[in-house]
Amino acid sequence: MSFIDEIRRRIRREMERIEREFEETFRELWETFGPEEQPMWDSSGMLEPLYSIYEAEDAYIIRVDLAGGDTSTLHVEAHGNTLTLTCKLERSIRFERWGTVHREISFHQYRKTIRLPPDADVSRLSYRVRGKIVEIIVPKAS
Amino acid sequence: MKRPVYQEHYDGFTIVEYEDYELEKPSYLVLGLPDAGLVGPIAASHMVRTLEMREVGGIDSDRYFPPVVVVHQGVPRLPLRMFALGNTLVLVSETAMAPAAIYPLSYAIVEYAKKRGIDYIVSLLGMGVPNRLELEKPRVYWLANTDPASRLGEKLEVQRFEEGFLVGPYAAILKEASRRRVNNLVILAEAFLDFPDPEAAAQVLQGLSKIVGVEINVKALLDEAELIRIKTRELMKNTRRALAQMQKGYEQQVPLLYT
Repeated sequence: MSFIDEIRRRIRREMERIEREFEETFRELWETFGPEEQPMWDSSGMLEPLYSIYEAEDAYIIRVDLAGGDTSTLHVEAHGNTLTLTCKLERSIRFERWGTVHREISFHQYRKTIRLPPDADVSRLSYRVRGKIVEIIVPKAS
Repeated sequence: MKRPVYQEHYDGFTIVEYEDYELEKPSYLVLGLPDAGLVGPIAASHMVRTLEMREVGGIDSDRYFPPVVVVHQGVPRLPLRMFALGNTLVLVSETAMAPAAIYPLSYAIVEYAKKRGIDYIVSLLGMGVPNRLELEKPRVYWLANTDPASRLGEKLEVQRFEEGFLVGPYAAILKEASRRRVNNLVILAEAFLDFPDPEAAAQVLQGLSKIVGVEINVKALLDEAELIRIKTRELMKNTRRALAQMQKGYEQQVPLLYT
């Protein structure tokens, strides 16, 4: 490898690192200061689960709280840099009143789309379930 | 909304009483404020419901809270509600705390406890641990700012919290209580940092039962744990935003000085 190639490789790696940092910073800012008005449910019976993303040295770890979910119906789908997760509830949960909705409402399913950093290799993801919390491990592209 | 019989104002906060209640001695003020795993609010709400405690007051602020009322059973309530029974006053919040509210609220709570002759402030909180997923049963610790509060903590027969950081509303209350020489016992359980954790709430309640001398049955809390996790997602999400601004991540850091 020539000296010029080495410089190019280093610049490319540095640019990828900056892009990762930018994406991460943007995600954190969005989660901290983004719109709060979006409810975590909709009237069609869909619930949005709580989730967290942690960065390890060689992977991203996404934890999702699927309380009340039937995790045998968990489906994780990856497209590009996004993960879409769906999971039916063990049984429909019916509320006579739900917050300011003064009508009966039932929830049947969790659904969440999560955008991951650009170096997440979703083709190699794996997951495990413990106590209705799903831990999805997405390795970083090597 | 109930008509107050008494009000006190502290630097942007108003504490109201709906009746002139009296507590038996020794008296306890139990705090259920949103923090890691919502351990405080889940535990305090369960205690209020199980013991059928009487709503005796609340806290509002025209400076630090959004213009919000909580409506329950057709009656508007204040964002922080106070309930009393026997020797215990419980303060529980159903809304997340803005970081700017933490210090003045801590002052208001400690000052009110002092004026009311409360013997011990008891803080119930979750201590976010990264390996919570691996723990079947969260451990409980205690921390106290005075000798009498330490003697109370020893009744729990669990380890004292020896090293680390506390970040958030309970840290501000502990500092304020220490400054004003008010006994503050902190009961902490290992908890999820960013998911509601009713199991951790059950652990601190079992400890609290030994302190206040009243049996608090946690079976219903554990049976309904998943439903509680569903219902408290939005409060957890808002609390997480507030905690991120308070640099809650410090709790994962190891202190530098060991003296």
